[in-house]
Amino acid sequence: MTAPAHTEGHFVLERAYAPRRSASVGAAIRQARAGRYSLAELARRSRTSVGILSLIERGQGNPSFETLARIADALEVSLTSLIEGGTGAAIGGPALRGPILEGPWDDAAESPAQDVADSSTTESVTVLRPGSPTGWRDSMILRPGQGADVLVRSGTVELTLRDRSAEYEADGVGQPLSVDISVRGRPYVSQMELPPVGDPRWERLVGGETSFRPTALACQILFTHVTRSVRDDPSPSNVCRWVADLRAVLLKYEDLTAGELARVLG
Amino acid sequence: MRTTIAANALCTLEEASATIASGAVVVVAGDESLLSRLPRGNWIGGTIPYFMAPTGGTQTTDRVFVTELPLEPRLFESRMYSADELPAIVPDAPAHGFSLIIIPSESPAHVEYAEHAPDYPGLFLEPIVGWIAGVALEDVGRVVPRVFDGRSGQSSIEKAVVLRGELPPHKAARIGIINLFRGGGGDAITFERTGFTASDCVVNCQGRNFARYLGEIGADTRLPLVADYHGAQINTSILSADPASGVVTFFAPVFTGIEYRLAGPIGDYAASFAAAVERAGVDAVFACNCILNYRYGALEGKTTGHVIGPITFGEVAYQLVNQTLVYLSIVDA
Repeated sequence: MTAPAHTEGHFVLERAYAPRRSASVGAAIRQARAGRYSLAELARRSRTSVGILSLIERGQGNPSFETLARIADALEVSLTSLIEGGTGAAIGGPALRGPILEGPWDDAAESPAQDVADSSTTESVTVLRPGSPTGWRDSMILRPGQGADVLVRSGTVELTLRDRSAEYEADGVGQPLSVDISVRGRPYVSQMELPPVGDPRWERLVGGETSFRPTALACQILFTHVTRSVRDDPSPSNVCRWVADLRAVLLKYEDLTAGELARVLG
Repeated sequence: MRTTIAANALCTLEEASATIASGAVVVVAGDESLLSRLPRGNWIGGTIPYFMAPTGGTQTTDRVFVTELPLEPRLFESRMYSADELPAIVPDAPAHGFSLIIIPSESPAHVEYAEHAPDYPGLFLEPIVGWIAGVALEDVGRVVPRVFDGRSGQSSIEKAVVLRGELPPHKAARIGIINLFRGGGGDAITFERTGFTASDCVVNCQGRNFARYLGEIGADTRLPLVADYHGAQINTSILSADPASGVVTFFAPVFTGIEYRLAGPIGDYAASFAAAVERAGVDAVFACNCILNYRYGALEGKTTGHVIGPITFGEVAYQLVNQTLVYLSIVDA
């Protein structure tokens, strides 16, 4: 496990990432890119240089979590699919705030704890993604020699030793290590029902066909960049990327935007 | 909802050090010689010698401006970001709180944030406010602005420093701006490239050289370009316009696809700011205003209402803005 920071008796892991096989990450990117984007185009879309992207694809780079996340967004594939070599489900649009669990498991029986406990490999990957209930908790049992990487794309994950921090050190001398994971942040319950990202009303809104002058500063500035970007690039992927962002921000400021949106979206 | 501020004032080095030693989470603005002598602690800072103090605008290198934020130290984090790392400010942002960024003027991080931050997915989900560190105007080009991370003891002339603070569930952060400028009734101007400089532009659907256009109409380049961001008036200030080379340089980038107009003039900056602050009911835990307002509005010795804070080389209200008072409020959620 990547060594977390030690604060007040528990561990707070902000970001930790180590791909299981950097070569397989590169292969997954190359496979997802094939026939769709040139290296230069993917570099542009993912705000990465051609040189770095080329290195990653050849398995020679050591990409940061942020870089991989941008590449995944640009390819419209899940981060998991890149890390796990193509086994993850597709993600529509960019990351939204509020973590959820996105992993290689299908149900509770394949929880991270089970995943780690049964793993014959020395590493496991748990990806927290937007959307799942805040306050989500789980536990991992880490056996000697086992590791787990927790990728936190937004929010904060606390890894708490069940008993004392001294047990963390016990990992090295052969004792199982029990780790509690919890997602910090307040529960978010929206009173506003917004159309899903694919609803055509969003397309009309971000395409500038519908007049909208929101009150919240964040919405005003974002909406301006949304409309200018969609004018420049009306491709479905770009529209989807911005609609997801806009929808999330409007929900965030729903106390200010609910009435305004009701008029616009009906 | 006002949150108690223990310190929001010009302080001596000793007073600032004592505030930091108390464990408070603070933002410090001042001369590098003072910032570099502050103790490690829960603070970030940046260089600037201009301030809006309770007694009015002032320039000093003897004191620093300390703003204490209503944050619990255990819910505070800080970090330096290089230009390449800046997109990570989004996933690093607190789940419920705000980020405060300080960037050295003309640094790689400054250019990156100014040109690309609005495109970072998720940038607008959590409030991000801040300012551009600078130096005395007479020292521009000789002295380099610097930012400080008091927690790590690091400083940088290239990287941005970001403070992240979690708020309790019953509180929320809100960012506001006070912009005195409005696009006059003049020409609509658009640009074909995003950036800090522009040569070509389109004026009322006609291609023009922007520098020569400004010369032809006798534009007062102390007045910014103003764009209507769906209700928010956002400025881009002009640093220089050279008709010979045909190049105009800005304090913040102009963006493609956005329509700008030259601002109309302001009579009395101080009185206008005071009235606008009063009208908006500003209740700020942090605020900054622009060096260009200080300079062009002759604000030295004059107050701009009750809002105080550093006078900076650019302001961040999600994106970089110019000639604007930016403030952060903490309200009941």
